[in-house]
Amino acid sequence: MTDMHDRFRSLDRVPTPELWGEATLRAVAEPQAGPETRTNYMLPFGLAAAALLLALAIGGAVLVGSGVVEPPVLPDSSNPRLVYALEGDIYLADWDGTNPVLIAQGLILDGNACAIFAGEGSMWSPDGRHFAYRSGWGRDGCTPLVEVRDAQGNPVGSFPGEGWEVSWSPDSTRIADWITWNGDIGIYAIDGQRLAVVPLPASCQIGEVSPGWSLDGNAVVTTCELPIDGETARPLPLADPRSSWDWVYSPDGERVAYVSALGANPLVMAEADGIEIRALDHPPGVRYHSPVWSPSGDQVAFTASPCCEDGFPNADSELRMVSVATGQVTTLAAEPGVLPLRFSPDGDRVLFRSDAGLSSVDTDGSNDRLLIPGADWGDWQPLPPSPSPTTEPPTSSSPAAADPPVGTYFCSGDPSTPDVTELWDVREDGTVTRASGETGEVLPPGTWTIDTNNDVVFVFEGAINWYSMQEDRLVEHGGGWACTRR
Amino acid sequence: VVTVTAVADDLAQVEAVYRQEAERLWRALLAFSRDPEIASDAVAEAFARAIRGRATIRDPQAWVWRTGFRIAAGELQHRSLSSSPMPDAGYFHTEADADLLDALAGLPEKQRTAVILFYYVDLPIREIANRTGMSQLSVRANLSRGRKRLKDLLGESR
Repeated sequence: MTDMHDRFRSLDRVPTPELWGEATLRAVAEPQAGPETRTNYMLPFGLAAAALLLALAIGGAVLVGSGVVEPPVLPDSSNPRLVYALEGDIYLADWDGTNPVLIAQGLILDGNACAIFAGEGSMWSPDGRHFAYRSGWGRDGCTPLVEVRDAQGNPVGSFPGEGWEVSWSPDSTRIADWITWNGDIGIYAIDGQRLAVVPLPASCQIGEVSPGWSLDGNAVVTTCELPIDGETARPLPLADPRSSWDWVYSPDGERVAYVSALGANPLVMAEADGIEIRALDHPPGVRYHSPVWSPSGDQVAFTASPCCEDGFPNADSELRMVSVATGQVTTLAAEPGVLPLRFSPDGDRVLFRSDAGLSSVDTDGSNDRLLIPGADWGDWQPLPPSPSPTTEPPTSSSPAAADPPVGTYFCSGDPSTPDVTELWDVREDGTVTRASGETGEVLPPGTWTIDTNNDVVFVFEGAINWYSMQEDRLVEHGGGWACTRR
Repeated sequence: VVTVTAVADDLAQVEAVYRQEAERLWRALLAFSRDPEIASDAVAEAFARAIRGRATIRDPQAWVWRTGFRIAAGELQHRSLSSSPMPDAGYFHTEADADLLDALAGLPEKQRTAVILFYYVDLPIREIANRTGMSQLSVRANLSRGRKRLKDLLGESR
């Protein structure tokens, strides 16, 4: 066997380009000479021009933005971010699949795949701050992983795990996954740290289905409720909706939809405590499955398939939607393999997959659009309410409302780019103007709103960022940005 | 207040890192990206940023390596999306181990980074973690998987 270090030594034979040297260094260093005194915080600003000279001299680096002021992208229901899996890769894009960014690239070699990436279930966390997907499927010897990223696509953590759906806790802080199929269940923080191991008694095995969560986030659910603090598992009674198939809570946790394991297997919408609101019986030869709630909890999208022994959709399936209040059923699409994935935040559209790829359709059945041909799976980002002129003023009971972030701020960058500073003008109308703290250059503006957690949500160039308001400071969640009111 | 002496000291520190590390960083990034242009751009921008932010950078050596790899990874992603053709690899294949570079291209990003820093730059796990921003555990995992995968791709495991 060839020594690997020796093979890498061959890199030393590659000649470096003549792009730099003594002259370049002097060109950068010399403008700094001279009896000059600067205050500390101004130091990086005065050197920007010199750095730009270096960058241009030795390689065409891009240090300064285009300066083009683009229209703000509102964090509203019209533009949830779409994360999707396509041919073993993961992408993050605008809601309709435009402006895709490759997040994770799968590796396909000789027809085999080791690091291929896939999504299933809700890829986005309930609060829309993170998304997760799987890697390592498709070949013996690959370690299956779950990878977590923030809303901008930056890696946050990963952990080994088996399963299909990525099972987010209701509070978006944890993920439950199989350590071994139908063996132990791991509870992981979003940074990949394992917080708990929940052993699965043989009597609680569920087959190749991912574990779910209790509404309070204190237990995972198979055919039993398994407290994550180690208390004894509790088998689910037959009357518990979670003992049925495809159970899913509405976004506010007030309602649950499921396919009953009893009788003729109707699609049932019920209060969270199990009190039935409506049961939708299917005609002979058809099965209902895969319900998905609208954000308001008023509608449920589901699939109607010709009776399928394996429980999965097949040819001639239909995407339908039922009004919980009236029971009125609307057919939205009819395609092989159709499955609803997520309503848009405003409840006006439904994202669905089919054998053709990822599509979107309005809830009146119009505007059926194939967004990503060939995509295996995708998910729209849950978003906070949009800022708008008609937005009700915050009430005095809301901490954030009592202290809106309106004002001018000096913001500094994260530790990897400590030299980056910006001046923000956060305005009452929900807009934010920005300028570089170094050059004064006008940066693309953004928008702000306050979400249900009383966090301040900024959107700049389509990227969503959450901040806490701490007296006169805005502090980014999970990041190094901090802004001080001036 | 910062005097010119402090400025000069900071600049000298970055300059020392530049003289000591630039060529090796460029070759490591070449192995990472298989693209001399990406390697050059990433080295240039990493050092340019280091000069701009030197007053606040505690460890310029680790900083430029971490930043260089991040910039190169970002450019690779951008190019893969824009379907830019890969450059003619003959430029460096004539000098380097062509099979090795081809195999490296088949590794996921983190594995490739860990393997290059371990085998080419001869860094210990702790220092790889410091220079990449990964945890030591993550470095070990990526190095282990990357090493195995690389040997598979090079046909050395048979």
